[in-house]
Amino acid sequence: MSSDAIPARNTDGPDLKATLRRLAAAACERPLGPAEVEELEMLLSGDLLASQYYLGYTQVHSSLLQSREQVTPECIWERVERDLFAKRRTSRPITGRKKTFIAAAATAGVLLTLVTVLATVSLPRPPIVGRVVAIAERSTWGGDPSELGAVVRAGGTLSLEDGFVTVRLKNGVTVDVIGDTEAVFESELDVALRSGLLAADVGLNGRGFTVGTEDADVVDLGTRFLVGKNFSSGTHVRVDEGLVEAWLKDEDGSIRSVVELIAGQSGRLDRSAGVDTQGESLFDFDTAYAPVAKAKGDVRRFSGAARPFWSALVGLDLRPFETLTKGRVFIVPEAKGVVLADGLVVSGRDGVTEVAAGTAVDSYLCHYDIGDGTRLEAAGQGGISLGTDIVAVIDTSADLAATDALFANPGTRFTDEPFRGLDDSGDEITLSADGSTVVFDLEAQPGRPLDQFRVLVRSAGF
Amino acid sequence: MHPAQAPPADAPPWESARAIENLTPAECRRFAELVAEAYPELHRVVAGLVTNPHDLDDVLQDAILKIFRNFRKYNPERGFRGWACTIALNAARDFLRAQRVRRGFGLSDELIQQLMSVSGGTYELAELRIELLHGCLAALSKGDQQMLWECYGTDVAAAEWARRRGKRENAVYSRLRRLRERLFDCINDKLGESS
Repeated sequence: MSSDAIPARNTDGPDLKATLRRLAAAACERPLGPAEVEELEMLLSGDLLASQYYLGYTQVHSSLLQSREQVTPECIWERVERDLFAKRRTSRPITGRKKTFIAAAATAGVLLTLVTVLATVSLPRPPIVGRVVAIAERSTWGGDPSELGAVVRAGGTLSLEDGFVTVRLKNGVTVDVIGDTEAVFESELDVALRSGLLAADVGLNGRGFTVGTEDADVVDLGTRFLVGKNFSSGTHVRVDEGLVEAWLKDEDGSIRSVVELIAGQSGRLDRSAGVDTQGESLFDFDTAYAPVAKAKGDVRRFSGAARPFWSALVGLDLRPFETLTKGRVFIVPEAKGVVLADGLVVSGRDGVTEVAAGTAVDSYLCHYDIGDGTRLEAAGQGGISLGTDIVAVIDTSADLAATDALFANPGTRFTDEPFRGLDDSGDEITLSADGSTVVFDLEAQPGRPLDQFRVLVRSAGF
Repeated sequence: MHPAQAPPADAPPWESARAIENLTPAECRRFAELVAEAYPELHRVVAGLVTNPHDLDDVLQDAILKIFRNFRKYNPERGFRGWACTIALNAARDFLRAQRVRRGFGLSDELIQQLMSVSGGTYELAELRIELLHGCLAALSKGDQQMLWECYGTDVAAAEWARRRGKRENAVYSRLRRLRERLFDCINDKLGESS
């Protein structure tokens, strides 16, 4: 029997099916009011066919909602893990600081290649082309906001007013979108830059990756480059590594001229002015991009509450109440390429660890300050995954103070309060066994509003 | 201070959480695969009771966590889908009860139980309806398919869709509702034909 075969209950009154449809439609769009709930109760109670009809309607709603989702074992696991961190925070008795070495990365930036289980309805759905792996603190959006870890689908637009967002595409290409910018991710190999600035780091699998603007297509041939689109002066390109081809386009899309640019070269492509590789660039790439590169450092992925810090670093005040993080944990880049003249010995709960003399390290300070605010659920939980080995995590107030002179940015102000380092009352750090990911769960509280720890990584190139 | 450890080349992502529930890596992997496979069904049974997209997402999240916490109790000789759907339906029931207490009104326990029974007991019919929905969707114009895909269940996208096309938001919502109605009728027509 089809579910449409339900008879009208009362031929004098409104048709039962019509009423059920009206109530089901309302339930799909908004919370039902008391009178509607009462009406639904009256119509459905004891009537299995009516219930089936009602559920048949909500099933269409459910299927349409679900068609937007692509459910993989990986995302199921992310949901579990996200909640586990939250539950642990509220339910576990405080027994002192617990640091656990685990066998593998937790929220690391491992993009699994597990089998994808598609949702049941095959609406035409653009494929996933990448994932958001970093959102700078203080970023503001010009359009729909995205979230850290969110997937980016083909045709998806990122509109950023301020800050920066990093998207890692499935083919390994990393794209930094730096506000004020609007960019459309057409595919893994094609990004349309409507305005603003983006930087692309293209790996071996990304050769042919193209950034298209109104005036030009910039085609990568294995490199790292930046493209800026300015409405008044055309498209600007700078190549940091490797080689690109830049094509100047006419309004009908036909190619007017092509120029090759190699590392260190810049070019401007403009329909009225043509191609210029000699003049001064009107686009100040250094000012716009250097803070982004500095903020990211060797961090491949920021997870949870972790946010790259890209405000001015010199003279930063990291004493309590001075740089509030509002539930986030700021990852502040510090000194790079510090060669330890003497071995660095740090005493922690897990014993004494020594980093050998001659080791070259980069430093990141993780800063969490809730001020006098109340603690938010899931605040202070996150992680960072690096492209290099973590050689030490310094988390006691004494060790932090002892290493400030070596690693801190010039003029940074720190507190000498004993609560600066991680507390014995619930802060947790978990380091992956592959030495590339640190996951943290910090619990500052009014009166002890600050938590900091320093992550030392092996400096790239050493 | 933590020294670096020897790196395993292909570290799976569930190591930290598995330690909490004392599951083996194989069990964690199996759990994630089974839930991903059963997810459409979990979504369907919960959505029959909890229609608001945000509430639905919360209940599903809660259900997935409960399934994980109880995964050791799952008997692999029985079907996973039915076992998981029962947990999901219970999570939906608990949510509706709490909502009723909060608002002062809501569906009775008896009706919730009845809807749970119907929802959990009509798997084959639900499968058939989904299959028919495929055909009904394909019969829509490309523009309508695109609109459903982009706008359904997201106010922000619907507003943006309306803005880009110079239409009123209400017109977009009305269109979405009409499309849903048309799909529902289409499925029922096809069910009538097949029976």
